[in-house]
Amino acid sequence: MSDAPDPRPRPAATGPIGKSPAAKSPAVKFEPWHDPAAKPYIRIEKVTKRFGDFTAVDNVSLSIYRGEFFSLLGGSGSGKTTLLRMLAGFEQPTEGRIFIDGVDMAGIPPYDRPVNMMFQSYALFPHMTVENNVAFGLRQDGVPKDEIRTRVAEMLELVKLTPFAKRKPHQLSGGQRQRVALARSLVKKPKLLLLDEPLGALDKRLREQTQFELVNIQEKLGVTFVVVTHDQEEAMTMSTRIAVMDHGAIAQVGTPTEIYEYPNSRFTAEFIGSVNMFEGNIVESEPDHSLIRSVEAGCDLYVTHTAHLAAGSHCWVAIRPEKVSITKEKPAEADGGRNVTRGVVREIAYLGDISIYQIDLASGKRVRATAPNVTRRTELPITWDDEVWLSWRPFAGVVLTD
Amino acid sequence: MAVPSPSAAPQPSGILPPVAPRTLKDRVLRVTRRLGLTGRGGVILGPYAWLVLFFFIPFLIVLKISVAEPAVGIPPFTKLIEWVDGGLDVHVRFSGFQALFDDDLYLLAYLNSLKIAFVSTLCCLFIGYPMAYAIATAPEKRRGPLLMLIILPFWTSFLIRVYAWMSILKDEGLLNNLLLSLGIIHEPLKILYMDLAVYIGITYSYLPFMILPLYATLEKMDHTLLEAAADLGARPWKSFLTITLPLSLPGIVAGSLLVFIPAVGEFVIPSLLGGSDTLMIGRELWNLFFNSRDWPSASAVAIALLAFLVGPIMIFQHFQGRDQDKGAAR
Repeated sequence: MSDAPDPRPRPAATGPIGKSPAAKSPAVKFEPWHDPAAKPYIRIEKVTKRFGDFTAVDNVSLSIYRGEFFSLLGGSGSGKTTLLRMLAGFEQPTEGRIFIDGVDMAGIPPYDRPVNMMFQSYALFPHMTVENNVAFGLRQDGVPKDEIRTRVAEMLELVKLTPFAKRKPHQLSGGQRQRVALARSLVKKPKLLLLDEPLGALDKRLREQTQFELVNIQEKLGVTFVVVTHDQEEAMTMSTRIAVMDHGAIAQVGTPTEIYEYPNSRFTAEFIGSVNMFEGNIVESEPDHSLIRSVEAGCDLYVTHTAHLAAGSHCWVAIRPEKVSITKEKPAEADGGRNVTRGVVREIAYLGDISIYQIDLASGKRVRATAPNVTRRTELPITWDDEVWLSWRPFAGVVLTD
Repeated sequence: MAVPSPSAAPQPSGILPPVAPRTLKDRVLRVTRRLGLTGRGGVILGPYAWLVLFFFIPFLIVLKISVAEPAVGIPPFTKLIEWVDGGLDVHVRFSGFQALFDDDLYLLAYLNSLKIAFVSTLCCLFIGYPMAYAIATAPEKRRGPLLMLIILPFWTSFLIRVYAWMSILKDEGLLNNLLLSLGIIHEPLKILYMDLAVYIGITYSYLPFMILPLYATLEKMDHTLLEAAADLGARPWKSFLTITLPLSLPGIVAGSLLVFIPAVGEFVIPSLLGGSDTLMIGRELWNLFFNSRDWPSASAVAIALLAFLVGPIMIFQHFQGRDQDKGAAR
C-alpha cells in the first residue's frame, strides 16, 4: 500500500490518473492488441444472450490478451455482468462461442473452467473461517494438506489478513471481506480472474487505495483480470483496456486514453467524463482536417482529428471541458473566428484544484469548461455574469457521426 | 407507551426544586414504574402469563397427582394435603414412579417410542429435505402454491387423515389392490396394524413440520454461495455437502425436533394404525388414565416422558440461540 501513488481524490472529469500501462515496465510497451501475431487469451465470438424477450448481450465480439487488466464498463443493464457470468460459466450464450486459451467453453460447467471469479457480494461462506474460505478451492482439487496450508498462508500474507485467519466472515469489516474474497479467488492461481464490481461495496477512500492494490497484485501474479464496473474513474485508473458497453453491445474498446480522447460515438464521449457536444454540418473535409459550421457553437469548428465525410453531412464535435480555455480578452491566436466563441458565465464550481465553469452561448447552448487553479484565488479572475471568450485548439475536438 | 413524564426526568439539583406530581396520570405512572410495570414489561408479561396459566400450573397439577395414590372416587386419587385431627397431613408417595421401574413395560414403551420417533424423524428428513429444497429453489411465483400444497392437509381433520390411511393400508385397501392388479404381489401385504403403518402414519402426519423450517432456512440461503463453490471447483454434490447442508443445519435441527418431540408422545396414530403389540408410551399413558384409571401412575409416566424430552428441547434452544447470535452479528 505504501508504494501506491497518492490516491488523492480527483474530480471525475480530469481524466486518467496513474494507469497500469504506465506502471508496467516502461521499456516494453504492453500492447498485445496491436500485435497481429499475439494470440488472444479469451476470444468472444458473436455472443448473444437472451432471457426470454430481453437481449442482455447483443452480438459481442472481443479479444482479451494474457496479462491484461480488462474492464467491462457500462451502466446497469448494459449486459456487462451477464458477459462476465458467461465467461465464468454460470450462463450459457444463446448464440456465439467463447474460447478461453483456445478451448471452446460451450457446455463446460463453472467447476471445470480455468477461471475464478470474485463476486460483487463476495459470497464468502459464512460458516467457514477466513482460512477455510481461502482453502476451499484447493480442497476441491485434492491438493495435499501441507501445500494447502502454505498456499493459504501465502495468500493471506499477500492480502495482509494473516492475523484474521481464524475469524468468521461476519467478524470482518467490509474491506477485509473484500480481501478474503480476492484471496479466495486467487489461491488456485487461475490464469483468468473475473471480478464483478470488486470495489463496489467499499467506501470512497478505501476504494482508491484498493484500486492500486489490485493493480499491484495483478502485476505481481501475472493473472489476466476481467473486471466489471460501472465506475468510469475506476476503469480508467486500473485498466489496460476498457470495453464500453451499452444495451448489451460493445460501444467502443480501447485504452483509457483512446476512450477518453478519441471516443467513437456520442454515447462513449458522454459516458466517460463530461463533454461538450456541438451539432453542425461539414463544410469541408480534407484528410488532415475538417471544417464544421455549427450554429450551436456560434463559430466554425476546425478539427484535425477526423474521418473523411461528405460536405454538408450532419455531425457532432465533442470537446472535453479541460480543453476549452476561458479568457476575458479575445485570444490572440484566434484564426478567422474558428474555434472561438463568446458566452456568459452562469455557474462556477470551485473544487480546489480546478474550477468548473458553465457558460451560456448566444445559441442558448451551455458549455462546460474546467481550468486548473494555478494561482491562489484571492480574487476571482473570472466571475459570474462575466462575458468571456471560449477557445480551443484544432486537435481538441473529435468529429462524431452517431 | 409509558412516556416518562417531565417530572420524572432527573433535574439538576439546586437549579429547580423537585416538582411534585400534579396530575392523576403522573401519579399512576409513578406507581406503575416503581412496581416495574412499563409498557415493555406489559408486552413481555402476556406470554409469561400464558405459560404460567397453561403450562406451569397444569404441570404442577400433574406433578401433584403423580405423587398421590390411586383411590376410588372422583377425582380418583388421594389428596396431597389433608387436615387430619387438626393437624396438617402431607401425603407424598412415589408408588406411581415406582411402577415405572417395577414393570419393564414402561421402559420398553419409552424405548420403543424413542425408536419409532427417531426412525420417523429420519424418514421425514429424507423425504422433507428434497421437497423443501425443491420449493426453495423453484421460481419465486411457484413457491407460494407449492407451500400451500404442503399446508393443505391441515385443512382436513388429523383424525380423518389417519382413518384415510387405514383404508389405504388395509388388506383389501387401495395400496394392496393396486399392487395386486399390477401383478407385483400375489397376496395382500400386511401393513396395517403393524409398526410399519405407524411409521407411515407418523411420517405422513409430521412431514409439514419438517418441511416448513427446512424451507425457511433453505430459502434464505444466498444462491451466489453455490456459484462461488462451483467457481472454486466444487461439483454440485460437493457444494451441497460443504455449503448447503451445513448452512441448513438450523433448519434440520428445528424440523427434526418439531417432528421428534410430538412423535415420541404420539397416541392417536399408534392406536389407530398400530397393532396391539405396538408399544408406545402415549398409548400406555392413555391406557393408564382411561382403562386402569390409575391417574397417579399415568401422571408419573407423563412426568418421566417430559424429563426424557427436556434434553432434545434444550438442544433445540441452544441451536436457535446460536442462530440468533449469528443473525445479530451480521
